[in-house]
Amino acid sequence: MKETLYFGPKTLAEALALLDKYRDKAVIVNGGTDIVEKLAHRAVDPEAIVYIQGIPELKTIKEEAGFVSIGGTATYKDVLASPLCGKFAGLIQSVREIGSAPIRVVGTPAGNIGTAVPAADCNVALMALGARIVLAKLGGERVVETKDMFVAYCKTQLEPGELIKEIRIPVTDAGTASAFAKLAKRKAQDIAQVSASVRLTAEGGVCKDIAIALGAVGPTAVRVPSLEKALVGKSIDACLAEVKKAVPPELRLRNPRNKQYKEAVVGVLIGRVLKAAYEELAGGGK
Amino acid sequence: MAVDIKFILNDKPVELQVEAQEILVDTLRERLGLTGTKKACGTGDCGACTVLVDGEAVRSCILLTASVDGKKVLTIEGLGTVENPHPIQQAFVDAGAVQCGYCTPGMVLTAKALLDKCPNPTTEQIKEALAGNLCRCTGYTKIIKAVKAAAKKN
Repeated sequence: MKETLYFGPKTLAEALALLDKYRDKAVIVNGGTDIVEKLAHRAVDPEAIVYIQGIPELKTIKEEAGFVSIGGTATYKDVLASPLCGKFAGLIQSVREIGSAPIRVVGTPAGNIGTAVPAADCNVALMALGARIVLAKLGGERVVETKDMFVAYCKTQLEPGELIKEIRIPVTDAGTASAFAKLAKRKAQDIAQVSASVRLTAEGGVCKDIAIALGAVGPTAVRVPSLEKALVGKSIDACLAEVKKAVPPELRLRNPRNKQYKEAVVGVLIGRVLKAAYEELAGGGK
Repeated sequence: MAVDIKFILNDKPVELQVEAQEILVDTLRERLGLTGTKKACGTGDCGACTVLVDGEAVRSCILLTASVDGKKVLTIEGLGTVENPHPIQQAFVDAGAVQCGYCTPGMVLTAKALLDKCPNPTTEQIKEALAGNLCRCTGYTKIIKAVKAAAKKN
């Protein structure tokens, strides 16, 4: 058996050169909260491990050109401590749900996007917020919307040689708010059974624009355009009444064991985040 | 061995060659003989393997040893001794916050990381900091009491 190589690049350029060299034979380790366990048990056995937490230029959270940009190696702890990220209530609510403090010290939003577990809390919030993901490779970059990022269970658009450089969340004005909530078997440190996040723009008690994202209702996190279209132009009260019993066609539940449960609660959960976002708006918005 | 690393372990410099996939809990326990760090769930959920890396409580079972290159690692062995326990360890003894003891090193180190940053935590802050450390004997009340007592002593 060939021995796995380890690299700890200090710059993005160095990391991209390594990923270009080893392509699909390389595994990127960011916070490592998911992948290290698999590496340790040889469930994943790459030719090279590229550990990217030592790249300072990817660690920053900044605002520019209408976006708050979270660097690829910024941790959940960094997100919680960032006043810029604090503008997005849905993001903060989702991050507070992730693991425990020692997990949030190392875990990263970019890493969880790469892992693409359909129940990942932050991914659902980022999807509702309309975040864009910047994928860098040697000699170029491309930008992918979060809603298009996840292509199958634990599979993303990320190609061999690419790395998640940053996550850009569009900054919104005072008429827009967001929220996130999940249902799990335990109150803390549990994987979502169903999660929902919303970004709501309202004026005079009427829904002007809405984005709804759901987690753990299929092989990937999903946006819910069917419901989004149906709600625009309606009063918030009418929206709340409509979502309560909704079972959107975007759900792709296959396991009969939890299908009934998830279908029963998904509308209730969407109602909760919609109400929370609206209450934040009514309280002045962020 | 694939990687040469240097780090500070319990205030002493260490130089090691490690495998790329090697995890810190195994390095500590099996290669360095520091068995105070416990391995329990192996998936980062339970907190028994908690160590401090650059002052932050982290899970050594989901941390590549190679990634602590250049950093400072503190394990329970670096905190106090039987003859001269750290005030947090003494507070755990005094409060009877130890039952089977398996979670205790992780609890104590997590409490240290908290108290270093926040010398007078509220009950809520203690609960939040310790939320990732599971005690299957369920002795949480005394553990919280111990952390409060340790904070007072500081």
